[in-house]
Amino acid sequence: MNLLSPSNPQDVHRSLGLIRRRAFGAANAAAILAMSSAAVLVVLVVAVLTLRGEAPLIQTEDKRADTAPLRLYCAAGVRPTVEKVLADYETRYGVRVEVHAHGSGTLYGQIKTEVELGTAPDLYLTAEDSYLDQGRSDGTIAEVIPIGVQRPVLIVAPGNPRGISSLADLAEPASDIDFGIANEGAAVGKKTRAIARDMGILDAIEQRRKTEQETVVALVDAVRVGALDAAVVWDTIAMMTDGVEIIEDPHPAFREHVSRIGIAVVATTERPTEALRLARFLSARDAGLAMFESDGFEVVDGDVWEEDPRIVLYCGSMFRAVFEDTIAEFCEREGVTIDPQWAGCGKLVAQMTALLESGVEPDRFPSAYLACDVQFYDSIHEYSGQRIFGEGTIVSENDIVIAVAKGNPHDIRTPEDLLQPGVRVGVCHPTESALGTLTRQMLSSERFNNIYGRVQAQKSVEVDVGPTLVSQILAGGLDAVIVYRSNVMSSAANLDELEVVEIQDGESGLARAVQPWSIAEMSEHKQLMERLFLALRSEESRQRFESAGFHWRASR
Amino acid sequence: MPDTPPTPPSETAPRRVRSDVPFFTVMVAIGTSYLALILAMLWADWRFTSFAEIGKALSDEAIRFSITLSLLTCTISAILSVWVAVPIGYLMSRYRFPGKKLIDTVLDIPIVLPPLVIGISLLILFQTPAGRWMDTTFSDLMKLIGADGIRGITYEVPAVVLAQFTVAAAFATRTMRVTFEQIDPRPERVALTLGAGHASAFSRVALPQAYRGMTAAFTLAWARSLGEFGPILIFAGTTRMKTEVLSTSVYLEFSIGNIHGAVAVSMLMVALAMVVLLVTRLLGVGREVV
Repeated sequence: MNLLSPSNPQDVHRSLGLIRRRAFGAANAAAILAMSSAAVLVVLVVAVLTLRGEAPLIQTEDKRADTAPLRLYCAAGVRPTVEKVLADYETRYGVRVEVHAHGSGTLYGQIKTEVELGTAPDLYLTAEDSYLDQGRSDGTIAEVIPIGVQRPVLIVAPGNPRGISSLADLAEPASDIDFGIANEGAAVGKKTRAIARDMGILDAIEQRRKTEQETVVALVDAVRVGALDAAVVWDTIAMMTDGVEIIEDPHPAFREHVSRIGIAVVATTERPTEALRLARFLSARDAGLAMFESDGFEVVDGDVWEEDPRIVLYCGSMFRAVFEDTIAEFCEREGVTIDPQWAGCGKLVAQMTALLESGVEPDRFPSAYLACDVQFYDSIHEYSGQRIFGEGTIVSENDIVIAVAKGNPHDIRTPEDLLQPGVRVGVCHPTESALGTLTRQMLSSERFNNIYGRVQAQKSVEVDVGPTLVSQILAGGLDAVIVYRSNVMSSAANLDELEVVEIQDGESGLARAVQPWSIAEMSEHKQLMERLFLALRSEESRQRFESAGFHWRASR
Repeated sequence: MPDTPPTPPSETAPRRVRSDVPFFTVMVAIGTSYLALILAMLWADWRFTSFAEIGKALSDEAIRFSITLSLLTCTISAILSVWVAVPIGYLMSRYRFPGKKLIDTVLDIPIVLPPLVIGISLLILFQTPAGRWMDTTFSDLMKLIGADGIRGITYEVPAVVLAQFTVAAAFATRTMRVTFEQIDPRPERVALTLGAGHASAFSRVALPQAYRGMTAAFTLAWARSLGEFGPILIFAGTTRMKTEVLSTSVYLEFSIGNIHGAVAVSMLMVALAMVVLLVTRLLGVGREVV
């Protein structure tokens, strides 16, 4: 709008009046705009905050509404430490836990019976890892988280009045030393017998023992009050107890037969998420494990404690159709959040390199990486001489195939047929994508007459991930694409419109990608990632992979 | 526009008036070809979907979440963009100062850079000590107001807004600068001579005239935010039911080979964008008429 028209003095006068009114009379537009848009902004931000997604961004109700206490069956020797940790947990989160302590083996037997009866506890903390293996194989136990290690030691009265130096001294025929061992229902009882067997004195020990107790605590008390001269107990209990002295037996069997303490979630629990949260707390390096360590236990490399941890996970885009549901189920059960980033492996590696160069904090770096092919894992497992990822474990293999429209109108049978004039070919980028890299290696080989250059010249499109090529051929934009079999089989509907042409590589492995799983060295949730890996190797997961055309290579 | 047409130059021989038909034919033909391209694209999209597919997409909780999140974040980003664009546009159009050309170039960086680079830059920025501090402070702030679900900025909903805002604000700024450049500065100068301060001249004389420009900047920023994809992918991730917006939904569906789902979501985006842009424009025009 032209307010001033200098040609006419009357117009000038009118315009000046208008400006005067605008400048002094009209409302302050800036203030009104700023305030009204700020008000709208506040409303929108509140709307975002109350948006309910995977979890409401504002917690409107307490997830721990169930106030019934959790039930934990706990190895007797570990109970004092566990109770301190549980007290801390109750103070922080208001969750009560009922503890029932006994020998690890006795508790295991009890749990097996109670599983049948439907009265089993939620958690089982054992001092003997063989029960965990048994429990897993017979389906009594679901998840297991390691805590630490205990070693059997000899204890005697202070000052060692009987001059005992080894377990062998107790087995001497002429010895009148009163000693006790735990029965086989207690983890330490099993280990004591294993040590005695290795030392060749098992029979003598069995014959000469004065008593056999059900728990390690009873043995410690017996030595302390003088009822026994010696006993074999856990080092941790011995260190925590006044009035006894530890004798280091030099025999190597004492170092071999250690016991791994672990906490397990009982398979029948109706509150798996709460049970797992408590198990994570007990096994977290800055929560439960700190207490175990201060009580003299040798602890494992536990996770950092977070009530609801958020984990970043990098996965090649080929896995989305087969792994996404497994991750969702895992998060639901564990009560954790996992942010999977699905992309071409070249991009993921580039992103990880950028993060490493910028000095990324551990919680921003992927805790684990499921790579499309070993060579992408190889390219990032070390960076600047530093180990970034742990040992990779092969999960699956995926064939590289040619996908064509139903009926194969161009009669494509081999990669060389792609070079026919007029065939619109789609391939993946040779560096951004694992599939592209493998395609280049395959077609640059003698076996395929080094036709990669010609295919490149012929190609209509180059993209970063295989599924994009499938979408493009489905849309009719391409005649043939080089993709993974899983890209085509990710949806049953694809097979109505597409046909798979096998690439015969003569067992050379050129037309096959191998997918490893690995956990980042800097991850603060390695144990959680181990459990996710277990979920990845589950039967349901195997079926998902196989139905999508993957070859399964992982073992349970 | 002048009130009277310019007088034709006097010539000795009367000039034959040519028909305007070829002119308008060419203009309409060129214009229609582009319009036809857009309509053809929509028609082609429609071939790959159906009301049933769109209904299926709408019944998916994740898609409904992504629609709501898209609407909210786009509007927040657009408002923030206009907030930033108005002062920058005004200062850049009205004043000369040292380094103005350099600042002008810097302001264009988000327009010129590939969106993925913006995403990577934001991701790296929030790994620096200052970025980490902002992340933790923001997280603490959210805890304080009870929004425990938002833990920081990176890979969270604020990252979606920030990624959209970074690009959209550049476009809004450019629009606002052009708007203020087209507004005659003389009324503001006159207001100053009549005793108004700079703030008053800006808010009571310049800003009311810039209303149409602000509407344009808002719609441009909103549309740009809706289509934003690259920076969100990298900086906010593509987590279902958390940071997934419509553009990432299309990508996620397409990337698993579900082209029908991708097109159904695309059609939803088209419908949504048309409704919002039409409403905003009508509001803008209405205000201008009033």
